[in-house]
Amino acid sequence: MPSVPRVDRLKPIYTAAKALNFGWRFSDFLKIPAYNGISRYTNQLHRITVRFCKQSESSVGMRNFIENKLDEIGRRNPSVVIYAQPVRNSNPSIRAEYGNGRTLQINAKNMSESEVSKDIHLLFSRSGEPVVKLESRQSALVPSVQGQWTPITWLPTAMNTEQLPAKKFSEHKSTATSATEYILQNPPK
Amino acid sequence: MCTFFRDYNSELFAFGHRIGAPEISENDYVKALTNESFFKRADVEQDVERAQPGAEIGSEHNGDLVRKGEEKLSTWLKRYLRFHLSKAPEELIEAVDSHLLDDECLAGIASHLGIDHLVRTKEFPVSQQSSADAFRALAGVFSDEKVKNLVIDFIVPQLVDIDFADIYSLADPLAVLTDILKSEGVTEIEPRLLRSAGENSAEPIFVAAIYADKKRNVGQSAGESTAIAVDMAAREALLRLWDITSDKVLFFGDRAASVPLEQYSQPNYSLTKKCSPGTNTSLLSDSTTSDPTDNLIEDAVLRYRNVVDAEVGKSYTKRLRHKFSRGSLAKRSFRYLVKPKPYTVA
Repeated sequence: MPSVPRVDRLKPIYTAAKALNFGWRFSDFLKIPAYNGISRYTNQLHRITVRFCKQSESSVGMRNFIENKLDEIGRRNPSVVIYAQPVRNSNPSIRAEYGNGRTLQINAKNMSESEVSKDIHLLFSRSGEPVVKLESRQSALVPSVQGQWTPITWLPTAMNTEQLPAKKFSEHKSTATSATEYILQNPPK
Repeated sequence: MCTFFRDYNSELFAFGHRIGAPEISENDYVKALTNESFFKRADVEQDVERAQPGAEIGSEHNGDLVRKGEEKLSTWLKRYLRFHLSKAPEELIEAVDSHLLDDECLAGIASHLGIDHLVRTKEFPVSQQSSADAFRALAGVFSDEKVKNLVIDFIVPQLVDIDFADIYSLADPLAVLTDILKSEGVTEIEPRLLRSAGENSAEPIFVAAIYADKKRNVGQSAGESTAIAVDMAAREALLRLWDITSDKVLFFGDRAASVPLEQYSQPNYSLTKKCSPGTNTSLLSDSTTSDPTDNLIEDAVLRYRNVVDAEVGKSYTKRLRHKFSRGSLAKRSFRYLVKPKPYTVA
């Protein structure tokens, strides 16, 4: 009889994978491709391919979108090339290629026309960088404004010529105020 | 393969809008994006019917446009740099200019603009040189005003991340600094050690500062040894002298476009002329070997790596790591840790 029967469960694998920083779970700071937006903002989306089936019911929303909304979107964004590709017996999808070379695909199966236009709008606003879990809610181009703290930054200069151990640097510091300090801080009126 | 078939004309149209110059004709774009090697491509040479994009679209290459564009880009970038770094010598301006307009940087910008998909060359994937040349040729086609916008919008933002001391790295910054300060009337220039820690460890740190007339701290920096720290402090002092600090505000976008950059066409002063003839103002060459460190541990490590490892080689467990691996935690059973519990069989 085996000592501990080993059963593969998805939960511990999923929990373990959450701690990883590669594979299908990224955590990172926000990144801008090619300093976009510092001087000029260029739309990072280069081309969109709208794939749909001319016959099947899952492509109905996509077909309606192409008929009604696609023209207007193309006119408003002249820097993006839009391809409409009919493919037989396939799921409708939207593929977007970005300036950093990455391609994103959204499966538009059974989506209505409004859902498709929402997704298209999302793809137009993205930069092509992968969706990441934010390491922190703040991110900046400059790592430090005042200069990064090092153990040396606020070292008292007196310590330079001191032979350690020295009594004055070995004093115990505490936030608790002593009686003398209290009276000095709040002198009696 | 993402798109079954890309339409070259549509891509050019979209590219014109993306780069901010939709008024330029398609023929001009095609000429700027055609490399000389394209016409030596086998299928183009033999006039194959469906060669994509074929030679019938345009039959000129971008050779002379590359030269024109390079000049224009360099002129505008130098004007911008001279406006911001007005106290810096012309050698530094030229070093920054050549760094920001070299093949690597321009190819990076070009690939983010999508030029890699439009350039017509013989080789595939598109080489860095072809990509950068295509960008320069585009600058050659654009009007002067548009090239200024190109420089301000795409090339100048890279200034945010570059290290001026690395790009213009003098071989002997302390000598140059001494010379310049002496010409300003300072009598005594001496480097002093402010802090040190971990002298015999793997990561020693020495903080040195350059003092003028024993009173004024003109620049301070840290390094792994005293020599390195003094060198870094001298570099920092020179940058401070030329007003190149990390809190310097650079103009971008509309703010930069409204500056009359044409007035900054005259080159700044030359460092070689300003310093006395004996001072070494040459740059650090790439082939300079690192001087022997006075750190014992670093010496031992390097000796092991260079001398011993070269002779003995790496151990089996390092060379054949995959053979010595017992598997991940999930694969190892740890059965041996749980001893069998005896039950009586009734």
